[in-house]
Amino acid sequence: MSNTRIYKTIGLLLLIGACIWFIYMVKSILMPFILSLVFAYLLSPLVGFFEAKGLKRIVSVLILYSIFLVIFIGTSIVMIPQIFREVSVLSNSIPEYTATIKGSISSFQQKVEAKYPIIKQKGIFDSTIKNAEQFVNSETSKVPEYLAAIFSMVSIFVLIPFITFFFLLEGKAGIDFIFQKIPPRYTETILSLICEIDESLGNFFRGQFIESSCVGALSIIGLLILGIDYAVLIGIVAGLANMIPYLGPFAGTVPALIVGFIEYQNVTVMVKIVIMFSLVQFIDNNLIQPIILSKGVNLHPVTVIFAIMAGAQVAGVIGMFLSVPLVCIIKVTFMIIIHRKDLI
Amino acid sequence: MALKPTLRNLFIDREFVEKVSFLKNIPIFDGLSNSALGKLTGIMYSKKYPAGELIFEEGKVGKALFIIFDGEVAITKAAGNSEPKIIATHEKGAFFGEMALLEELPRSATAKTTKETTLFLMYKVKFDWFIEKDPRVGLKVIYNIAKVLSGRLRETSEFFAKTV
Repeated sequence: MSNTRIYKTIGLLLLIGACIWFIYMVKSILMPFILSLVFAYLLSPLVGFFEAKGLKRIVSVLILYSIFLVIFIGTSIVMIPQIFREVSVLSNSIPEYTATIKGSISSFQQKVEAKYPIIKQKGIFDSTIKNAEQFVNSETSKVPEYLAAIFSMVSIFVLIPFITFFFLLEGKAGIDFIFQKIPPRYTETILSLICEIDESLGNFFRGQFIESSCVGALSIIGLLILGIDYAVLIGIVAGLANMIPYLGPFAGTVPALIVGFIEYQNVTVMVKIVIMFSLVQFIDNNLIQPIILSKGVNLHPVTVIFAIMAGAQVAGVIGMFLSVPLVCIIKVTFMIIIHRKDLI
Repeated sequence: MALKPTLRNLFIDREFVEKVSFLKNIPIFDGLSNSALGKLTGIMYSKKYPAGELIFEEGKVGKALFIIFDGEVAITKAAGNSEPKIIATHEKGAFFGEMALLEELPRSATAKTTKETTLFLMYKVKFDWFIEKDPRVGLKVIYNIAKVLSGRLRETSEFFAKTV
C-alpha cells in the first residue's frame, strides 16, 4: 500500500471516529432528527406520487403537508376532546381507584391474617404494602421525567414536522449528491444494495404503520363494545405498542386489564378483554399481515427480543421502536454481501 | 393569458417534463402515457460518467438497465488474449443491459463510456416492485423489451445465415 493510500485510510478512520464521538456527545438532541428521518422516509413515496404528475418537489411537499394539516385538524376536532375527557376522568378517578384497590387489599389481608396469625405477628403484610407504596410513589414521581426524556411536546408538534419538511424537500438532492460521488464502476453494485435495503425496509415501515393503525382501530372498537373506560386511550396505546414485535401485544393488553379490573372487579371482564385482544391479534396475524406483507424481513424471535432490549438500554422507548428496523438494515446488508458475492 | 405559463413554471418541474419527453422516444417505453412515464421516472436514477469509465464488466451479474441520456457508450467483448473487440457503439437515446430486468445472469459484454455520459439506471429490484404496483404499465414495458430482443435475435440469425 502506498503512503498516500495509508494516509487517506487513516484520515477516513479518524473522520469516522470523530463523527461517532460527535454523535455520542449530542445524542440527547438526536431523537427529533432520527424520528424526522423516519417520517421523511415513510412519506417520500407520497411526495413521489405528486412528483410523478410533473409537480415540483416543493409543491408536492406543500400539497402533502396541506393534506396532513386537514387530516390533523379533522382528527383533532373528533378525537382530542374525547382523549382530553378520558384523561381528565382518569386523573379525577385515580383517588377513587386507589381507595378501591386499598380496600380490596385490606379485605384480602384481613382474611389471610385471620387464617394465618403468624403473618400478622411478623407484620409481613404491612411491610410489604409499605414497600410497594414507597416503590409506586417513587416511580410515579419520576413519570414526568420519563415523559420529558422521551420527547417534549414541542418536539412532537413543531420540531419534528419542521425538520421532516426539510428532509423531504432536500433529501432527494442529498441522496443524488452521494450517488454522484460513488465511483462509477461500483455504482451498479452499491445502488443495487441500497435498492434491496430500501425495498425491505420500506415494506417493513409501511407495513408496521398500517398494521398498528388497524390493531389500534380494532382494539378501540372491541373495548367500546365491552364497555371499558378510556377505550380510545388504551386503543392508541395498543396500536403503538403493536409496533414492538412479540412484546407489544402484551403491553397493549395490560392497561386494558387494569382498567377493566378496577371498573368491574370481576374476572369475567378480564377474560373477555383477553379474548378480545387475542381476536385482534388473530385478525392481525391471519388477515392484515398477509395483505400488507409487513414481514419483509424475517428475524428470529430471540434476535428481536435482544434488539428491543438493547434499543431500550441505549435510547429508551424510542430505541425499542427503532431497534428492529435497524437490525433489519444490518441483516439485509449482510444477506446481500454473503449471498451475492457475484455482485462484488 | 400570460398567467397560465407563469403558473405552469411555478408548479411544473421542467426537468421532469424534459425527462418524460426524452423517455417517450425510447423503444422499450413505446406506447406509454405521460402519467406512466412519470411513474417510471420515480424508479430511475441518473448518473454522470466521465469519458473512458467502465460501466459494467463482462461476466459480472447484471442488475440494471441503462439508458443513454447524453454521451456515448462502447460495448466490447473479450477476444481471447487479444484486445477486446468493440461490437457496438451506442449514443443518446439508446439503451443496453435490458436483459438484467428479466434475469440476474452474468453480463455478456463490457460497457465503457467513450465521452462524458449521463445515464439513466433502472434496477431489476425496483422494476419488480413496480410491476407488482402497476402490472399494466409493467407488462407493457416487458412486452416492448420482448419485441426489442426478438428484433435483435432476428438480426443475429440473419447475420449468421449470411456468414455461414
